[in-house]
Amino acid sequence: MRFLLITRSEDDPWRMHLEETLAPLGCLDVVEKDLAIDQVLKRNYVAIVVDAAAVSEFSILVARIRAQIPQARVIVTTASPTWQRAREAFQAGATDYVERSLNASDLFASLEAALAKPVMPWP
Amino acid sequence: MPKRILFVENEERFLKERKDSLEQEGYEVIPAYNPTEARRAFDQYRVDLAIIDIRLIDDTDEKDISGLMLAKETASSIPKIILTRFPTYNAVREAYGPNLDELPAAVDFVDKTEGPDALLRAVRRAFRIGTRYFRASQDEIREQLNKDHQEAREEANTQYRWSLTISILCAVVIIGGIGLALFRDVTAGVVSSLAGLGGEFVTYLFFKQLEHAHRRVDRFNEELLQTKRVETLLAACDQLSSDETKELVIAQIINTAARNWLVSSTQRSQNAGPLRIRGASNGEEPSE
Repeated sequence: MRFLLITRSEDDPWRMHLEETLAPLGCLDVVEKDLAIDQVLKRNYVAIVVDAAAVSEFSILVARIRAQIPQARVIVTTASPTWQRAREAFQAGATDYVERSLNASDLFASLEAALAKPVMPWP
Repeated sequence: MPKRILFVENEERFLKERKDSLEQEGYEVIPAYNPTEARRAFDQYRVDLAIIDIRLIDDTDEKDISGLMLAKETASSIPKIILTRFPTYNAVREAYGPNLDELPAAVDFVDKTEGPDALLRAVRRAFRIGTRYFRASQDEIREQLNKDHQEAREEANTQYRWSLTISILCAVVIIGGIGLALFRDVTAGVVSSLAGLGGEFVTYLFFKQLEHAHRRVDRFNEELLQTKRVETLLAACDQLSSDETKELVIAQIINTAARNWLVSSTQRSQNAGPLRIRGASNGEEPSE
């Protein structure tokens, strides 16, 4: 399985953490926001993880991804979740909005739960 | 005809204030103060939209999610707005999470302290996207059903071919055994015939498996037909000239379809009667 992380830069320390966490499931590609849509169109990803802290106006990016690929599973991650941003993410078409935990088992559990969720229709 | 909103809220004063503001905008509002009243109203009225508070039983109990449960249990063809005075990001995740039919339980989430304008905006948005959600989900359902139907037919065809081949081979062995017993060696002939009969028994077991595959094809045929009927009706609605009539007819189609699906799936789970095997192995469409 192949995952895509959209983040600020490839040097993001959380990227390493995510890569290790996702290792049992598959491999992780990393891309910056500006190249995200091109990358999404190039490969068939199981899930696209959007780092909300690194992408300003993440909801626009999520909506653009869903508009391009309606069946895409987009998971928004954040270090400080709020209900307003959660609403924004879901209204933009995100499959889930999860906390960016540094605990590997917590992160794995939340990503696994997000992967089990069906992708909602994109109206 | 005004659009009808079911407002489920246990705070009477708050409900009255919001009901007045919605009525000023031309909506018809039916109040319900608890989950039981709400379920009754869902059965009794044609509801175009439901606004549901999360804590319907005890406002002081943070474990009270009776409103969310109500939103998840009732037909997802009716768009719902979740309302709360205690918003959390987990409550938002629950509200936008999938129902049993994999559609979101709610189309919007509003904090009570955001004021009447936020609720009005959410109501307008819900009416705008509610039907589109249903149509988008119809497309996905059809695609999935087509895929499952194809798989079930392939499974049935493979099992049918195997059963037929084994049956023919066994028949040859039985005939050969009889010939052997009559003209050459009686013992070898009897053993051969018994082996052939054993093979026919195995074929019978294969046929029993085949029945299961046929039952699956039967079910997918039925569901495909239901989906196609709804699609045809929705397509016919686009020809209606008045937007108001169009919305009303679409709402009726959606409600009827949801009810039919519920009834047929309940009947299917209760039905333990004889099998109805229809042309699965030869690709025929079922007759109604």
